[in-house]
Amino acid sequence: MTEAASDEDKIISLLARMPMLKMFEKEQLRQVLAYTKIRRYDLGDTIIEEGQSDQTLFFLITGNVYVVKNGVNIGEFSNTGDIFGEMSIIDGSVRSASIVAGGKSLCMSISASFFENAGNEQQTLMCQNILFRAISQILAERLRAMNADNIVLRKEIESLKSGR
Amino acid sequence: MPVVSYEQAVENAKRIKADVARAKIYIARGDILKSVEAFISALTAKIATPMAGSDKNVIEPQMAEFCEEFSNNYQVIEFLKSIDYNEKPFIKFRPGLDSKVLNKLTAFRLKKAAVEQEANKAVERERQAKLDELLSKGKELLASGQAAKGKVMLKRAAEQFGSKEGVLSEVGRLMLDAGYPGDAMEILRQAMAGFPKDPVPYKSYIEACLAQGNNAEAEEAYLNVIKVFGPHPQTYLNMSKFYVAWRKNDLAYDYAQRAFGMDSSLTEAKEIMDRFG
Repeated sequence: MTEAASDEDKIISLLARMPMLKMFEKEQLRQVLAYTKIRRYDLGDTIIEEGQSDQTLFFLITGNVYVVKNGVNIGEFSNTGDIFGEMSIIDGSVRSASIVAGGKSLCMSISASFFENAGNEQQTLMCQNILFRAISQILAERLRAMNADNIVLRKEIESLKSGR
Repeated sequence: MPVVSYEQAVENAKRIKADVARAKIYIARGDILKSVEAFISALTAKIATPMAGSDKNVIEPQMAEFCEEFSNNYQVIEFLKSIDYNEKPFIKFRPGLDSKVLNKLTAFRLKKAAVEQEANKAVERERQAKLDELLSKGKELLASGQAAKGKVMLKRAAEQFGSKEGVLSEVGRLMLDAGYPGDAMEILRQAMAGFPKDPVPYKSYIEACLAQGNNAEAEEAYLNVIKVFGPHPQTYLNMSKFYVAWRKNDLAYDYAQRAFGMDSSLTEAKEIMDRFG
């Protein structure tokens, strides 16, 4: 097996761990690789730059990335399958913050144009499927986080009401 | 480029120069994180300020100089090596690409802080393991009758880790439980002096005094508890019982009355009052 093939297999096995790609067979994941880009970053590399208007969606495969704005850290992604850069795909807005590599990181990126037309109907459907799942995952995570925040807020309101 | 007034631009230029100067001073002193913070502040202000003329001609070479100094700094190089980063130079100042340098330094700062935090946690875990070992070995030796060895072990724990809240108190308690109230008192005195707001060593200290038959010292400790933590019905009741055992009936009555006055559900206090009233 060549080094490149072995590298591709490694990446495919990492992709298979992502919740949204779990239902794909190995061969389908190989196809996914064909119309996505695997990008390697090192500490401090800018993955997304605030103010730019590209429309690329990123999936974290390994490593960690910081969300920064004016030199201030406002978030971090560190789990395989974490998605970032979705806002500009959804509403076409410019990047609201920069995403910077926190060390050696591997990401998969997919351009918004593939969601419209990835070459043939089957590939386009596959891309749209990925997008649908990615957005669902983001929504579910945000809803979960909001519910958790709501519980904390409700408790605080209760304790304020009861004067404790 | 954001729009700022002329006055604001002049003010920002001054601030940028000062921040770059600070960043240089910090790096010369070896304080990498403070140096990065100062330079990040300078870059953030520079990105927000349209710059031209003499300010630009002064600031940009200074920034380039800092980037070079930073990238060649021994501590920076060592840190980057430790995280398997080998690209050189780490940062290079290029006019117009300020945000790239800003992002790189922000990631550097976050990574370094995270690595340091992890290292501190590892040191803390190691210290905790050492403390746990000293305490459990000391306890084991005391239980098996090897008093001298056990006491040495516990005293070592007190000496090495006594600055951590709860340690002296725990060592004192272990000494007391093993039947060495004299040694316990010595350690508990240190605990009360070092952590006066922790109620645990006071309780153990009083027990140790009583185990030594040192009623005067126990009385003083009780009074100290009231002084430090304020009056409490349970403390008064305990004092009352203590005075009953010491056969100081008038004081036993006095404190029972105080306890009952604060909490009429304390039947024991009422009984003492009825007995000595």
